[in-house]
Amino acid sequence: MIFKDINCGFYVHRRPLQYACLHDEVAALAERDQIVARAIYNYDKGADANERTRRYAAQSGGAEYPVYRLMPPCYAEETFTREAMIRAIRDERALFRIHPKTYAAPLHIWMYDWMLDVLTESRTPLLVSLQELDLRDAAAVKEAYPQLRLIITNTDQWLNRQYVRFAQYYPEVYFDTCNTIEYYGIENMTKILGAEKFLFGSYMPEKEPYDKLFQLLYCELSQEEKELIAHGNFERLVEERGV
Amino acid sequence: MTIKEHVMNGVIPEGLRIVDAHAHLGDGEQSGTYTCTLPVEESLRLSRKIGIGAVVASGLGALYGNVPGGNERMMEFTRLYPGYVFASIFYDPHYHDECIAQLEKYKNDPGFVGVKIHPRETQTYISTHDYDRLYEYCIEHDILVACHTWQTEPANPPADFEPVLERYPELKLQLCHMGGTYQGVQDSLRLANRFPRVYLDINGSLYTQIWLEDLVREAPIERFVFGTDQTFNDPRIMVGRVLCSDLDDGVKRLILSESFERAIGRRLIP
Repeated sequence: MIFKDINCGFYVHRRPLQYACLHDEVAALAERDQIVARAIYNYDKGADANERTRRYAAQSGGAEYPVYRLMPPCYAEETFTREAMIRAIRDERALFRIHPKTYAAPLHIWMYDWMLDVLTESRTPLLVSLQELDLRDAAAVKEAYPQLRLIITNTDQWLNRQYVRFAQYYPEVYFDTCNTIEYYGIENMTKILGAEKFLFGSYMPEKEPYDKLFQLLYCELSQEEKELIAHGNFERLVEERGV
Repeated sequence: MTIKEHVMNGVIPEGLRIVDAHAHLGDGEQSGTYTCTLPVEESLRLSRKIGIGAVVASGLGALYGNVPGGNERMMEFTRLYPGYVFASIFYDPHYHDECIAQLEKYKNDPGFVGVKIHPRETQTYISTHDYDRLYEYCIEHDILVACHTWQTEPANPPADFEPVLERYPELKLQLCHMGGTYQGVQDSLRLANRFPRVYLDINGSLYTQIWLEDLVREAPIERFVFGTDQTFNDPRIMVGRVLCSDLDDGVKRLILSESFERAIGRRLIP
């Protein structure tokens, strides 16, 4: 089985005790482990982080899709113009990630404004970690932008009731698998929400991908459901979106 | 073919010995946090399917408050599944006499392996002397004590074991979760490098930003033991984490069973 990773990061500077940490290390390990496509994100906080992501994705021969840090349209130096955002989506099949807590930029309509229009109209996934997201904020945005494709990564078994209900209530809400560690979690969540709602996510280099590979290889879902989660949903939402 | 190559091709290698040294078993006992707790037979089916050859567990009933009754139920499981299910008797200082009586009753039972403590759940802190009587009993009888640890929980950060181990250096101690955070892992490693009878349960180091390949170089390899924390966590998470890693097969075998069996002084899988 092949895997396509919606939550694959890298660092620019080496960090201790991370066996695969830098971009090339993560990419090499992923290829060895049958993770053939990746949405890559630079955890470096430098001003050139997005530019490095762009370069790596451009050099990947189509295996990597850039995930850009999306700051609200506040300071011109750190964010996108509407034209640049559209260009990145159209030419690079870029995705975007927001950091409501890390950069104190909560997911409000007034905060991201026209960016939500661009994302919705282009059917471009917006990634956000559940660790940083207030689902009440996300709910207000989904009321106004029901077709916004929200991929919530890094779920938390202690918040399971909240995020399950959120995805039952609002359309176009997806999750990655990186934190699905609870007992029979992958089977239970798939039964409740459907396999089309989950995407394989490793959260490299903050953790190893090994548990997630094994989980999908040995879970008790149908082959069709496994393939959807391992790569099919990535293909639909990232590679084949009608931009 | 390496273990990893087998596994990535959908096959658990024949003869691979996996001892789950940190499990919780119940029989349809589900808590308010929502953990999918299946009938015990169903839980064991999943364990067998992914190659686990022995499960060392404490009883969910004991953890949820029915301490003596939960321990008895756990011992029943060891009789229902002899040679596959082994018990960690749960100890709560509030029930000291009852728990010690159960240890006396079962300490020579083939289904008995050790003691489990969970300071957060029993609200009895490691930093106090609440467990001293247990430590003394376990040292006298050479019994392994497995303790839930989490660095951010006031009841059981691993660093609080430092004065305990200074008082009781002979204590054989399994640090479950290795403290659960980056700092918790560092504290656990420090203890293992200082005290020769401290064992590091790799469950919980999953989300500490430390990769297994690097983790096992930070303390003597024979101190790392394998636990899944099922039936809270899915056992496939930890099994996959070891089997699919880039560690040498020999190191994997040490972690998966051999180190724990040496720690308790007996083989659980023939």
